[in-house]
Amino acid sequence: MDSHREHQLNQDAFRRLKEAIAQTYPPGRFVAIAGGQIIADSERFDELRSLLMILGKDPTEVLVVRTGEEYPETAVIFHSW
Amino acid sequence: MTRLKGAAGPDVSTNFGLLEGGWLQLAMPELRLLQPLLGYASDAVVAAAQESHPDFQGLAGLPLLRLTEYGGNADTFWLRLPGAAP
Repeated sequence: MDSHREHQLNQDAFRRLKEAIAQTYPPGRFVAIAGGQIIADSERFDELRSLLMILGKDPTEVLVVRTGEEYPETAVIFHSW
Repeated sequence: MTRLKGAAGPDVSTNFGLLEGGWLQLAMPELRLLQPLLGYASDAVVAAAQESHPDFQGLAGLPLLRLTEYGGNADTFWLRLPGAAP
């Protein structure tokens, strides 16, 4: 799967799995999504990256979220003119 | 973002278009900050920031500022370690 499709697949999966992730993992946990599915989690970001590499994944292609954080789908950026 | 990110993060749609999320390693030893931080990539945001000053490369928002103490006025801005003496 090309990078763009993988990226979009994981973004869509996160939106779909957001509530389940919040209910399953304790706050502060780093959770990794690849191929549209949760594939790993860890208390530490660097440990998660190591886990992903052990799994044969390129961490830069994997979507990572941290439980307990807000990830709005939309936002307004204020800018002075 | 392509060069610096440690992992992808959730994207967000904004008034500047889609911002690509990515996890970056924040390193500010003067403020004892060394941790992953979610950032967002956008050429449109960089262009807007550079309208203020050509050296600007982007915007730093509340997720970073909330790791510190900060303040200022129209002429100055300061940033310091939480709990540090003024």
